[in-house]
Amino acid sequence: MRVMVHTLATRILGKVLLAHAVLLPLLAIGLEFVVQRSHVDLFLNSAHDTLERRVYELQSGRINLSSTGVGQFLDTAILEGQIVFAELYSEGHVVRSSLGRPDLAWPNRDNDFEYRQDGDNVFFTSAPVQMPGYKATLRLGFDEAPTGKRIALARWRVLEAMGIYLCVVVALALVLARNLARPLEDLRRASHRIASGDFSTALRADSNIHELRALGEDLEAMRRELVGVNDKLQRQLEERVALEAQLRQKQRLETVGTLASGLAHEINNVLVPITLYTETALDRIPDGHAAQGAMTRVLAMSQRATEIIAKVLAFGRYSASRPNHAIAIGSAVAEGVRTFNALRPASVELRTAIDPGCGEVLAESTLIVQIVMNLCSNASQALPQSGGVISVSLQPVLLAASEDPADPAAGYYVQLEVADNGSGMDEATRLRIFDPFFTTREVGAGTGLGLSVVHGIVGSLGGHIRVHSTPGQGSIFRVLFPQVRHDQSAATTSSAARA
Amino acid sequence: MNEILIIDDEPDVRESVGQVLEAAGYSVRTAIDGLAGIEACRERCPDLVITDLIMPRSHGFDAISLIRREHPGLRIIAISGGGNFWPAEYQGEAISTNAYLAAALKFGADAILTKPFDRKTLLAEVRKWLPAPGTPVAG
Repeated sequence: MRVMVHTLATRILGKVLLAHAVLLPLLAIGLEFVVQRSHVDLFLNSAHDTLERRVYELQSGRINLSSTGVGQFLDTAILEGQIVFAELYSEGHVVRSSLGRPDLAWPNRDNDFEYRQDGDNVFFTSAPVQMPGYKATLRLGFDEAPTGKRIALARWRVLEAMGIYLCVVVALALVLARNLARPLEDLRRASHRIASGDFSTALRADSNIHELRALGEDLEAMRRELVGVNDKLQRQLEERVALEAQLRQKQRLETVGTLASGLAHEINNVLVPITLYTETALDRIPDGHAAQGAMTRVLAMSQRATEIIAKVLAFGRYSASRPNHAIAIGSAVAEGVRTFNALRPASVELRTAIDPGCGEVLAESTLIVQIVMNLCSNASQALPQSGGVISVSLQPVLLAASEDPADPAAGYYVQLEVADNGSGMDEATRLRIFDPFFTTREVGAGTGLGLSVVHGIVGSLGGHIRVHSTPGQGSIFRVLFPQVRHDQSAATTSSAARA
Repeated sequence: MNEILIIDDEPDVRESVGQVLEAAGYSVRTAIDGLAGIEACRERCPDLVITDLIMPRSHGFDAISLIRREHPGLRIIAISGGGNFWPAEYQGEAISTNAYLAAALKFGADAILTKPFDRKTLLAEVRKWLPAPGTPVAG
């Protein structure tokens, strides 16, 4: 047995058909009754009219009442159609038309003749003929066959009409079902997509029906809400991930900072007796003594150790009170570039582009110089033996607001860029490049403190530092310093710039 | 007249600094931490105090302020190797040596020296506050 799917179409169709299955037969029966009745009535009326006219004709005296005359009269009646049996009964004497059907005989009945009686397809009826001195009964038999045919035809017509009506109804029901089902199906399909996570398609019920359209509108509003919520959650998640990464980084650096600082403290303590005892010992060593050279070196090395330790303490932990005077950063960077230029290997080409309109930042010149020196030194290390190009540029920039919480706030900055076309670094290295003691160089070739110091100084000055790198192509270090704006007086330019 | 009290928890620091000062003609006493230093001052007030800042049991900050209260005219030089042990009570600013020493000044020290220092620096600072023995005292 096929399983009936309870779709909207089958439901509507089923109910329509069910209703009609009950109503149509009733209607058909009723119609047929009415049709039949009217045809029969017509027939009977016609028969009685004819009978009356014939009787009247006889009573009018125009007919010769001899057998021949009557016979002619009866023949004429038959010839005019409808009548298939005609006889006149008078005082025991019967004159019958020979034109009538030979198989017919007057039924043994005197009254209550009815349509379709006796199954002979003939309607017998009679009427008395009253004339002075003459009494007779005119007996006529009318052919029921034509009426029967007409009734049958009418019955077929009714059935035809019912059939057409039913087809139209079914078609309308299907159209109605489709008009309801299609928008619902559209909504369902779109909802299904949303359920699978695809929020991109709008929900719409394409229909004139108010309820469906309202449903569509409400569902669309819901989808937008979901999209909005989804976007918001997505954004919050991304923010959270970014913040967590930041926090982890901060914690990592703090741990390293703590360890390094603790170490530094201990080493500093140790360096005091090393320095002082060595100085005292040198006093006691005569000039030219073999030990003098060695002890002098010891002293120099302990001085070197002091400097290294100082850098470690500088990592990330510059004095919290920021320098509060504004300096022209252009000249500080220029000084750093000059210093590096004097120390760079010949195979390294140094290009500079310092915008004269950089203005001022809150810093100390020595710090800026140190930043430039460390970055250039690091860039130089990244270049191969054959050398390369280091580009230093300084320019004012206006930063737009960013959704990323790790990005600097919108505003005016001065951007220092140190780029090299050296070996570049991979992602793993890039993420750790500012960690203290992290170095990709060989043992003894560097402490790995330079960039961590830069990071610390930049942070303490309220700036930001980022590095972009492509392995094999080179790296760019970008440092942003908040620019000092004198915006009380130059209100026009600054407001225009802010727009 | 030329007594210097050295307060530091590192024995080598106490010894090496003491040696240098004695060679320059000063007499030297030592204490191992802030509490001992305060006690020593009460026992016999020195002419100059050189104290470390970060020490176990009691820090130099407390010692400095207490000694300053009890011996207003006493000169105090604070020394420190810096580092990251900012005592919990003194939450505040940075963890750099500069900030430590700046704080020491706030507590009442007269001068600050960062570790490690060499002989020349040490003696120069000490002589600023306490003339070397044998030097005629002004007025």
